[in-house]
Amino acid sequence: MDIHRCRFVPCPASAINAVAFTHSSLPAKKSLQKNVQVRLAIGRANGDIEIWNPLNGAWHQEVVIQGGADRSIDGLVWVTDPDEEVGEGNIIHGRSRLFSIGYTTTVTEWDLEKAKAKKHASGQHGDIWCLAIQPPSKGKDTSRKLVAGTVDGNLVIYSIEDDDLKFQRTLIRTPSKKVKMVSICFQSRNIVIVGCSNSTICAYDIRSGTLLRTMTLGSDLSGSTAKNIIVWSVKCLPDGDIVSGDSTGQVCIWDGRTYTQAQRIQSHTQDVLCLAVSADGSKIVSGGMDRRTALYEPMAGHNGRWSKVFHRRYHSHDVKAMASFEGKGMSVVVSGGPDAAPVAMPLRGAGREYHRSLPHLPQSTSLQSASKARLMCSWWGNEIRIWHLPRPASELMDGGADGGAALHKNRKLIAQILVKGESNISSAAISEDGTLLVASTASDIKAFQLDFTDASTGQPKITKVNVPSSVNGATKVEISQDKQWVCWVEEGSRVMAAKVTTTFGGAGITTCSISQSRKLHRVRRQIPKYLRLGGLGAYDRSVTQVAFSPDSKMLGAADLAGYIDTWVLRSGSERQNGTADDDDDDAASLSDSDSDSESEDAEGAEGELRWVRNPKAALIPKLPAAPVVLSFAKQPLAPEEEADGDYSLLAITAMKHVFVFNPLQGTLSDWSRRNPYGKIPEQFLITRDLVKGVVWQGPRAWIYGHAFLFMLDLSQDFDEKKTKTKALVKSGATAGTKRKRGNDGGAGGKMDKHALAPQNVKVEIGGGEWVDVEMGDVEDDAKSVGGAASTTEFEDDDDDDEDESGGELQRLRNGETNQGGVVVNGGELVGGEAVKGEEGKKKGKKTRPAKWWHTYHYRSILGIVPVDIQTPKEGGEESKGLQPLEVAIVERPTWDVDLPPRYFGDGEWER
Amino acid sequence: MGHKMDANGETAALKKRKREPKDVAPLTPKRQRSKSQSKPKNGTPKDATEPKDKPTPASTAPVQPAAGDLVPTESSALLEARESSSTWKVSNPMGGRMLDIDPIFSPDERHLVITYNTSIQVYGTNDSLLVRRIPLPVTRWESGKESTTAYIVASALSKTAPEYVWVACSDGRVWHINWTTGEGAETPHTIEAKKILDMTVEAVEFSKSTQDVLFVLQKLTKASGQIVAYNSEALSTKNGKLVHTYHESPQMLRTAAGGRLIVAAARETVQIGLRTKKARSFNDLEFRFHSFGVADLITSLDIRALTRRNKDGSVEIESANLALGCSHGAIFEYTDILSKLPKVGATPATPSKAGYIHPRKHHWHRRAVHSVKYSEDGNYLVSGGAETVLVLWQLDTGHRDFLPHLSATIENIVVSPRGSSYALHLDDNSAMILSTAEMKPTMYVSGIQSLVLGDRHSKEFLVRREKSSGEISTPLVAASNPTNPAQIFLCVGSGQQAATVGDEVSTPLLQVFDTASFQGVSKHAIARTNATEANITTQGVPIIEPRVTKLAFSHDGKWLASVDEWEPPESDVVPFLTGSKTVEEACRERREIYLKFWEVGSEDTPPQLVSRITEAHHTDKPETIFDVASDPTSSRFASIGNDGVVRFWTSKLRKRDGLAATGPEGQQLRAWTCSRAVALPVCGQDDALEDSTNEDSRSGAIAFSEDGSVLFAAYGAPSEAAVVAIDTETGTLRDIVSGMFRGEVRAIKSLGSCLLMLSDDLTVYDIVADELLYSFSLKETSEAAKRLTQLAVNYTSRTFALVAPIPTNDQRLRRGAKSELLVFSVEDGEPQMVHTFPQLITSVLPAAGSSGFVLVDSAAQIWSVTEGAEQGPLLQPLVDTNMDGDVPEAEAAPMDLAVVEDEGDASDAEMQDADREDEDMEDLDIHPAVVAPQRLAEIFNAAPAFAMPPIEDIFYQVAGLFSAKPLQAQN
Repeated sequence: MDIHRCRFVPCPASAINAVAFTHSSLPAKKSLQKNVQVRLAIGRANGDIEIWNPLNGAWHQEVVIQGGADRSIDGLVWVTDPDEEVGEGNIIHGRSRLFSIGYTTTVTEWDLEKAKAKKHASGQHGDIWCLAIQPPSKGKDTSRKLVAGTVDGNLVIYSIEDDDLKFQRTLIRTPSKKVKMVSICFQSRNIVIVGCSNSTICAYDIRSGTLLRTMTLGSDLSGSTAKNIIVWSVKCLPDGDIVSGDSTGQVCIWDGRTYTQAQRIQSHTQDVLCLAVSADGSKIVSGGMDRRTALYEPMAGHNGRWSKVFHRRYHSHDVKAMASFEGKGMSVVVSGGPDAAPVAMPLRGAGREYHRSLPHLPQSTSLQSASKARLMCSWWGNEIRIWHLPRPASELMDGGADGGAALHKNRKLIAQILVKGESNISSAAISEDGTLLVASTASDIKAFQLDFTDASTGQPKITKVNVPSSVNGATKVEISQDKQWVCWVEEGSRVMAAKVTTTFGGAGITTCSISQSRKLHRVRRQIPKYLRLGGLGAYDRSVTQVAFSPDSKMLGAADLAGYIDTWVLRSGSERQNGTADDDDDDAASLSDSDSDSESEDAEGAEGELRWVRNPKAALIPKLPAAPVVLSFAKQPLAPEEEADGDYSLLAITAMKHVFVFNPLQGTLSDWSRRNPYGKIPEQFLITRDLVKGVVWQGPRAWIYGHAFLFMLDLSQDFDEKKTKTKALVKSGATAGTKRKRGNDGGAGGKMDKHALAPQNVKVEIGGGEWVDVEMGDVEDDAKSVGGAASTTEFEDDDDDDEDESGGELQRLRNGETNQGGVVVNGGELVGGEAVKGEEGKKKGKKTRPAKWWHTYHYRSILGIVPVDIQTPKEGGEESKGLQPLEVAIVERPTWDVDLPPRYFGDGEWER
Repeated sequence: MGHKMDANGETAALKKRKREPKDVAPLTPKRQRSKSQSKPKNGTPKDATEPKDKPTPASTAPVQPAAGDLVPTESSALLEARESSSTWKVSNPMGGRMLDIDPIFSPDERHLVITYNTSIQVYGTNDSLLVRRIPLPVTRWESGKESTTAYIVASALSKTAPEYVWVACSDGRVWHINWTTGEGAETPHTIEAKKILDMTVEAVEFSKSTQDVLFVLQKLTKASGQIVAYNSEALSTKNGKLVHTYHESPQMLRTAAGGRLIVAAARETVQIGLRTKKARSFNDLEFRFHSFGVADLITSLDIRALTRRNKDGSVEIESANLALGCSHGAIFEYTDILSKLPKVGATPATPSKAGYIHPRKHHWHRRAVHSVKYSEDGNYLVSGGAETVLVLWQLDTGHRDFLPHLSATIENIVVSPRGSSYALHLDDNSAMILSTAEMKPTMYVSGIQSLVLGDRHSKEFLVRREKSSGEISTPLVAASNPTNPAQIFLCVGSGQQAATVGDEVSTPLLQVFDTASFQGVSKHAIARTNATEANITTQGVPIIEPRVTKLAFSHDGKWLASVDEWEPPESDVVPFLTGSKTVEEACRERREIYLKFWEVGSEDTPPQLVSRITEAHHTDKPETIFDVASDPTSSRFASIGNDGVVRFWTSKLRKRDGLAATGPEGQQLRAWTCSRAVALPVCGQDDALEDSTNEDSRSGAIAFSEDGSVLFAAYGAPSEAAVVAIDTETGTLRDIVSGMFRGEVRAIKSLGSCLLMLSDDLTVYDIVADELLYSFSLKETSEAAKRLTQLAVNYTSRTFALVAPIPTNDQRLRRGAKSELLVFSVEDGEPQMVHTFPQLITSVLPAAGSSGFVLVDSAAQIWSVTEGAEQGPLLQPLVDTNMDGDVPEAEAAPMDLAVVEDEGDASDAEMQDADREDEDMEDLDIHPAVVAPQRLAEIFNAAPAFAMPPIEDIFYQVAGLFSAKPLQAQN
């Protein structure tokens, strides 16, 4: 594989301003946790809202709701209703609604299913600087209000009842306009604590609108110019005590009953910007402008006194926002700041586990290539750039003396397109020959034609292509390989397809046009009502992956729940009756648009090609986790498939399951049956970063993530684990079928050295003999009778998940194995980790291609795209004919991320 | 008096150069030849000076070819006879080095017991006076051979009888000493142990009585150890109770709560032992041990245990906090650790789970935490280390307080029993007591500060940093004040441990040490200092301050000349490298060399800088100043540098606008200027080829003749240096003697008509008779050893002394290196005394005004060598007389205190405003509260007349304070 290592492609990262979890903690009972949809929302300075699924520490960035011009997200609040029990032990989990503020007078509610704003509301008051939701009551009155603090010192109430959002009233008006309300939190259902910019923290009763108590901090004696202390963050502990972080770098603890200061801890050298508390109130985390994240615990033996345990610098810039989550075996604090990368820090396991820096780059690759034209196209904001890599890498490497210089010259920015409109580009696609470019925003889809016929300038002529006006925005677009079809996802879950007609005018001029789109009907899935109504509703039916087959005759789409839909291209006459309309499952609702498309369907002319649902589509089971890659292999992976004329559809999930389907038959491929989860190379499974994409080279899939590049040869079987991974993983690396995560809380793994907490606790049992002692919370012990550690809880979780969805797979797999059988050819066992060359030497007699290979050499990979697809050469790498592959790897290393200048830190030692 | 010269004329360090014909043959003709060669050669370029040379009688006298016939009859019998008739005596060592052992407060806080390397010294906390010095025979002589490996490892106050201290020595001896009387120093108990590493004492309640129990950490093998408990009975029967066996290399041991809790640390492991049951008798002591790992190497630990008394009268530990200081600067604090330790399970093999033991991490120090302690109330942690900053951690608020810019690395911190003060031991051999309320020093004890070779590895070296060999390779630059022989001026750095200072010794400070009271009087910066707590660069390279290389007093003691030299570290000049310059050249160009002249005032005032000469000797770059000599008859100095020029420096009235400048009190100000420069003839280079390597390797030395009329200057390339006699009045060259040096010129001295020349040989040459009297060659010729070979001349007794390191297998002068002293009278080729010292001698000085010598060794001890005929009043350890009456205790009257504290306040104020900007470290180091001998009033005003101590005691005190002065008057 030839690699162009590209670091010139910009992809500006945007600062994180807000983070929020749908739930701060989950009930301890496992059955209650099972179907809760926990999500993390991250709001950025460019207006993006990212929805992350913690997924037991996999941290999958599922959806990005694109921001737009002059928008920013400065505060996020999830409103999650309490759970409701219905019959048969089923629970309707409370719905989660997401609200945001952006330092304007507006509060916005977001529609996650459609990935766009749902409702804006504002009132006659100043800019909102902080927002909080009233806690649910235990009694009858279930209504909850949003309370916002404004820059002019007002406390205002928004009502969110009846799925609505409207300004209700102004609760408090501060006499002085100079007081800004900076931070807010509820102490109890009716008492709200507000941190102000004038060295005070106020407690208000929102029923009567009275000021209960003012807590003052005094004046700033630290020598800064401002005399007033700004209370940047307030939080309440479960016992009612209040924690505040302010501009003097102190964290204060206030008695919740008397509203008096109990303790002051000087832990930061600069402003404390954010706080997080654990659900049981046993830990406080603070983050500040000095880049520190500090952890506090109650002092043993001193009731009610806290002390700082340690601080670390996880971020390279201010720590601006943080939120904690405990449940589902996880216990983390996620923090963010201007350095754009969220950091997950262990909360319960602080000092024993590593933190984890999550990628600052989007999960869905904002990079595409026109491999036949050697073009590479990237986008961000409202801008698209197209680069040309004129010379193949092999030529550059052989270039000799001028190789180095040529390497730098081997790129050319040939086009730069700014998309008009308020919203940013959510997705873009370029056809393989580079002549058609389609970009989607939240409001519309734009298409451009690139004409390279005028070679004199080296710049293509860009003309706009008409798109039917009925289109109103998409979250994902894709162009088929033969440039005949464009497909996009509307409103999160509606898959649309439209034909591209290319007309050849005189003098070699071609013009494209996109015809009216049609909705592609997805298979109706049986989802229990109690699940559909609760939590995030139909959010998980959002389609995130769309793929065309290499011959452009099949289209696949997958949603976050793991359902895969496939459609095939048939001429109109071949319309199958099997796809009855009542099978349709429009995830959103059976709205009137349905009937519209139906009528269009009816109008379809005889003989015209149209997409119909693959008859076997419903046979493809639900994936055990959200897919992160859906891709058709460029050529059949196995000879039998070749015979059947079937495709190989590769799906990789966020939990690193690898499946290959034969969609025409609606089955798992033989390879996939022979290579279940447990046989996937351990190295691939333990790599924590998510898979972002795949590049095909014959049967080889080059799979990449934020910091890794794996090659899996999908034509060869992997070996049993026992034979190869002995020293790889110390614990839990048996040949089990389940991925065993360590006993960690969803951030990094366990620290083995330099952990703050003691290691190797031992007790002498007499006679100079020592026994190792496990450490654990004393409370944990009390709970888990019979010594069931939390590890087992984890696995149970996994079990549950797979029983439901993977069970289907399991059945399928088992059924087939009986016929095919898992054949492990003992004679051909190969050290799977060995790199090609080594392996060859070892074996001596017969060189077989490596089954898998990996590198962590490339870091912060934005994307990997093929730039050249050549006709297979004879006598290539393999007699079998592995085509040479040329790719461009685009890296955006963290040190290359442009950070705003630091407020503090001059003269500090940089390490 | 250990050794003497053997029959072959050899000592441990020197070898007589034999005058046997076959040996003489190559030597004498060579000298002759060089002489004859130099003359014609000199004749050509320096015709002007040559004729003037000739008339002087010294040079006209022909060189006696029979120089070698002065062959003493070397029979051992004769040597014996001479030895017995020898009247030289070596005193007991005085002073010494405070060990890295926590000082001990007496329970009433009125005394502080400090452990020195060879003694226990008791100081009064009110007046900083030495109450008692209890020498300990640490060095044992076994069948004539000493065992030098023994050293004191721990001392602790007895918990049942507070007038006793327990002191443990590494070789297994344990002393039980009554520090109020000094009893017990001669009768140690002995423990059968390979090596004692640490020891603590606890008062353990047994059913019948409460006894002192010693917990002794013993070395078992290289990587294992034992904790053994002893009570006094077990000590006598040598039958301790084994408490615990360690499987790591243990370091430290602490106990608390009446022996209920033991904490021991080994590198990265802590072991906590809890007593399992009530001990009825000594043999019932049983402990259950827990161990856990720590993220870093442990360098210090403190434990704070609270006990409560149950209803049935039994005592148990309520909670225990543990603080660990680590080698990378972090302090880990474990609160209430006992509650989280695993409990005893159903069977011993299945203990319950341990709670998560989460320490708090306090990280301010950049380097190893040398000491960490809980304050008495447990609200603060007090820590210190190489940053020279005392850090007070307020645990509740996370607030930190700093007491910055102490004079040296903080080695030990002790909280007083009442918690009202902290005692600190600093690495510059000083100890102080700070009041916790005001952070003001109430007591300061400063011993002699010289580079020392420690017995144990420094805590700094647990972390690999910049390489430091830990050897002493430069002599201690020192001078004694001619007007006040009790005062020694030593050029010191900010630390004392040779290991921590590194190879680049920086000695910007001048310590004035009074040998009469045996206290450091003051410390002044005489070169640039960089007082900062960040005394190490980000790369871990210590910041280098200038090094004082020469120190000389004028004959009347009023003026002091010093030379300091600074060269940027090689890593810092790399950016300046241009062209073909090497790093060394770039460094040399950026050298800063100053010759400074100071006016020495009375004892309490620091020397005043009068003139600073930048680049006193220079060519196109600053050149090294090899030597500075003072005229024994007038206020005049001479210097010689690598530029081949001798400069004479004299003072004149400083003028401002034509008028004599006066100081603030109307005194006339003087300035020092160069009065004459004499270029020396370049000798020994036949073809005037000057290559640069030659230039750098040149060396030189100068000496005035006793009457001040002639200056002898030796200068030249190795083995080619010649001695030039310069008429100090006219500046003319009167004579040239060449071929006297082998290797570099190290020193030249003049005594009567003889020239003493030290290079790789010691040569005594009669300049008048032009006769080589005798010569010796050094055995040890490593660079460091050559530098540490020193020569001192005592004009009173007409003798000179040579100290030289004794060759060892190890080429470096590390711990265990020894030195030899030889005292010669000038006429006699046989040393009058040969003595081997157990330590490396870093400096030798003639005792001003008497016939002996003063030596400073690498254990911060002073030895005086006196001619026996004389009574040796010099360096009389006055403390011995002081001790008898126990007067300092009587002195603790409040009236008297006020006097002392007034003095203290002046420096306190400076200490208090120890801002970051505070540039000079010297401010902190002036502690005149240390008794100044003239303060008679303190003795007489100590109490009202009716309560005065016996008159005899007062007499001894007064006599003690003044005994040095009458001596000076006699001379």
